[in-house]
Amino acid sequence: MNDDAQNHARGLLRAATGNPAAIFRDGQWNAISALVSECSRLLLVRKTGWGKSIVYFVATALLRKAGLGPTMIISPLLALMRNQLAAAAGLGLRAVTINSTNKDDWQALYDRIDRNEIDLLLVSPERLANRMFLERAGTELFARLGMFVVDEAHCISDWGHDFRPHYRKIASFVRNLPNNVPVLATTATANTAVIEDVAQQLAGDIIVNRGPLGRESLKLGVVSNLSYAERLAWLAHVIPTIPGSGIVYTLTKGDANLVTAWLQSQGIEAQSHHGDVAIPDREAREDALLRDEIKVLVATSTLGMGFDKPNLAFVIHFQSTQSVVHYYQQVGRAGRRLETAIGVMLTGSEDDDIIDYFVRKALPPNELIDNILGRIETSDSGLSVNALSGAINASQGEIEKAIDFLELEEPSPVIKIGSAYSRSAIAYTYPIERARALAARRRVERAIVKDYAVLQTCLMQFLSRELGDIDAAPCGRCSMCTGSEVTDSAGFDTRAAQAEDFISRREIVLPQRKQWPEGGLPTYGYGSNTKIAKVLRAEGGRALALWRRGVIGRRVREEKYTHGHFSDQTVLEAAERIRSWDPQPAPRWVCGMVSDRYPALVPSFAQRLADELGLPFVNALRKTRETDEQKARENSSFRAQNLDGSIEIIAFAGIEEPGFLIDDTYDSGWTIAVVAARLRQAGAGPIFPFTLAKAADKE
Amino acid sequence: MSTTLESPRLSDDASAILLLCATLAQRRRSGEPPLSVGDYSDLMESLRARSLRPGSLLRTDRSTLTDIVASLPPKSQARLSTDRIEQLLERGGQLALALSKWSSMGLWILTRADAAYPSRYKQKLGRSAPPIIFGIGPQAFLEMGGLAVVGSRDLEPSSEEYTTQVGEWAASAGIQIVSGAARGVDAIAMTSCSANGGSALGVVAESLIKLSTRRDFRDHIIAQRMTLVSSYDPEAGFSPAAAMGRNRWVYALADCAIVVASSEGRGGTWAGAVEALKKRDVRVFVRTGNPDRPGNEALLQHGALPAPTDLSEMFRERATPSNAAKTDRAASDVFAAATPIIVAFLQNAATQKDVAEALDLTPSQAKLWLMRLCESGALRKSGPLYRSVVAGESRPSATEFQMRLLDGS
Repeated sequence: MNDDAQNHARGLLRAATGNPAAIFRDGQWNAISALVSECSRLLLVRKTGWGKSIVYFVATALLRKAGLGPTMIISPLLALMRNQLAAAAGLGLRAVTINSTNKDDWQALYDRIDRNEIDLLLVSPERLANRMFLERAGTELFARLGMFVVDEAHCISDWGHDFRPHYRKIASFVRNLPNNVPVLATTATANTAVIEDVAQQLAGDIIVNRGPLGRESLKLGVVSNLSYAERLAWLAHVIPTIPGSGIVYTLTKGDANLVTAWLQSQGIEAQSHHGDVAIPDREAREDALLRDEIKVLVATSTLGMGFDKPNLAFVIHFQSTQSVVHYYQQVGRAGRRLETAIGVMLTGSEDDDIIDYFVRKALPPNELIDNILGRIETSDSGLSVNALSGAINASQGEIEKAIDFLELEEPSPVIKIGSAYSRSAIAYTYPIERARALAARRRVERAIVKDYAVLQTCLMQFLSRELGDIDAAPCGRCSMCTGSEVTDSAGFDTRAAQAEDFISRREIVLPQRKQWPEGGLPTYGYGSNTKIAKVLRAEGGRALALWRRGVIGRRVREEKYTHGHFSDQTVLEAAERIRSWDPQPAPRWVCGMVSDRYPALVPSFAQRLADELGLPFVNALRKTRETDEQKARENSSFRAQNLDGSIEIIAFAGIEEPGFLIDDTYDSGWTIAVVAARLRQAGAGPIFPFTLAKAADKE
Repeated sequence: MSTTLESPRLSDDASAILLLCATLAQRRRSGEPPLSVGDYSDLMESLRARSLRPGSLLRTDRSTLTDIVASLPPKSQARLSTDRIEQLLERGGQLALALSKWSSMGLWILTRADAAYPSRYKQKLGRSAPPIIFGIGPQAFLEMGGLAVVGSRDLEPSSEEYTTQVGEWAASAGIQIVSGAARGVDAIAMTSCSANGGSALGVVAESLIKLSTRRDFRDHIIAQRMTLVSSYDPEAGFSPAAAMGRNRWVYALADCAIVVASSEGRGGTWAGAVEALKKRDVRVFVRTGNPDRPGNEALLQHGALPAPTDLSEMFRERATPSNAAKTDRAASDVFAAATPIIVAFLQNAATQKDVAEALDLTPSQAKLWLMRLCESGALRKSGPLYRSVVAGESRPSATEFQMRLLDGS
């Protein structure tokens, strides 16, 4: 490219950075030049903060100056888009985003696209699959697309740590772009295998341009072999000693809630961030962290790519991660513009189980896929997800995931017409090899995390090398290099008892079921997908503990499976919990769930609990037929139908009063919903459910 | 790598041809229409004169493009402005969207620049050969020729039964059915052939995508016994003009044709048959003796031959117009090249499936060639096993065979 263009580009850089002496970083100008004058396909692997966005902003400005069409940027998160728009405006680029939060502006934005008044359009990968968007904005924009940019390109690889199914469509789009449209893909976190996979999926001729990944400000540490309560104590002790604000990552939503509540109880300003938090709330909490209005955000992996707080002081993992790529990506958010920042990984005994669950759920199982395809194949006009979920023993979520998976196969064995899926004319067999390879790969990745947790050499060097930066040298800052802890945790264990107590006392609310499932319960006359009448609904209940979490959570499990009997101590703790709950109107009787498998377990417990509470125990329930174990039933429809016509209510004096319904564990909530409805129909007053444990929500 | 790419990237040539000629994003209100076949052929000739390929257009600057346009014949210059070509070539985003969608549905694409573009189209249609073919199902069917079966959508029972029998006969004789995949004669002939293990090639005039999900077609396509192709937008609906254009392609892809049921002097079947008879590039037979179909008898006046009772006689006769002879030679050239390879492979006995797998042939192609080689005496069949009659050198590896097949073709 000629000097004029380079001078112009340098001017843009200086305007963007507000620094009149700014010059391009090593590699930036080469990348811009390759895109603009050679129409190249480029994969940039550079650490966050290197300035990848400068490359596509300046390249866009030059292409537009040459009379070419606008640039489209695919970016996974709205938070990132907001930052990007502001930065693009700094270069005089007319940058806009079309997403679910600015629907009111769409018409005006479409018109501006039609009039060629937009230089840059930022959208999510899902938007690129949206039919309405493609018909309205897509036609004009794609009729003269000047450049295509894929941010966070590691999402393309299903080997990657956060594969997003829609990114497969992006890869296919890029592969099909003719060579007269330049393509830029960027990522900060991908190991060599992922990069190779991404490069191959985007087309073999892509040029990979990578730089060093070590983060100079991060002080890494690992703390192993602490119990759940000890780790809570550690957090509460250490977090206030670190100046600034940060993130604590947990593996599940349930853990995030518990850690948040604990930190709050310890006077630390903490908020949670996960899949059950409404998106506007999540954004508000991100903003609160950005402005240092809270000390810590306790998040699952939903707080992911694109959250950019240059002065984030610490990232602490409450549980160890699935892979070092996950870890690098998450810990790498700390200290982008700080002299020093802290990154500590705590490890827990529950981590393996949770991660194993994730690995098993990585691809939908073969049987489910075959089942779905078989049903679609024999249907005349296709089947909707709802129709499938009424017919197949899998959760609606699993069915949706399986359908997503099938739709994104290349070529796809299903075609969506309206809301119904039909079989396409494609021979298809479940990719057993791919599933096996993926699971094997995930296990290897997990094993490397375990190596990291017991490492005796430089932690940052290990991470960098695992990510393909083979020249990385020891960092000189981590706990291994310095031989001392990166945080001041001395004396944290004095709070361990308090943390244990907190776990034991924590109020755990049982959600209410409000709608009967697909298929309904025909014997009882509860219609498919109909509302559960308010007068039949169980009240919001409580659980004593989270399953397997804390001393009580572990004890409940052991008593159920090892002793087949709940101890008097558990009865006392349950009674204490119910007294502090004090539901209104106050229940006047106690009944316990009946079970084929453990006939005495719950009734014996419920009876002793009733004695402790000074209430009558009533034998109100009888099984009229054997049912499957609820655990073996995978989805709502099947769990609810398992109970259809299986429970008989035995009338007793005083049934019209409010009562407690006691069970050992709460998982899907169907047992309680169905029994409560039967009791109410038999004339009972409000039903207050209480269980010993509630299953922890997986993310 | 765990991920296998079902859709490798298109060549620059194919990309350019699609950009120039494909209907993309129909709902777009403004913008230049894609090139007609004639305009496209003119442009290609102008490129060829400069030793350029279609793909060169992706990297051509405006002044070179202006030169190319200036060298076009005056009548096409009026339509082919530099601006129009530039605008069409800028549609990369639209092309990528369309290709992603089509490939996810299992469609493949052949352009006039591809080696696998059907030789029958090139030879018989020349400049008017469609620049783009969309398809689903085995691509090799395009080179297999066979019997074109044409006729009305609405059928009386006797024609329906006759059509079914034609399909069954074709399956048993190892002869492919080529048809239009429309309701009536087309669909009956194709499905009865495929259902009996034969191969069927449908040249469709409506949405290729929608037709391919039709249950009776879909199962045959999945079983590799049916291929559907189209040179229209695969998502477009039916149009009568498309149906007329399609007739020529059906005749072009076949070795001879049979008209089952035609109206007299009107309708697509009549027009297509008369055109084929005029062009004389395939022999056209017509079912006679059906009082419901006076159109059939009328076609005899235009040069159609009465269909023999023993349908295989249609393929034995050699009273052929010159174009047909040329086609036969082209088809036999491939066969001639493959013969020594198959014979050498079968020095050790093997099944049809072994042959197909080792030589990377579709089962029906392997079957066809094996049958022909048995007829010619080069092979002997005992039970499911084929063995070559002449003894020769020892059997090379399957990979070597594939190499030689490529070299020889």
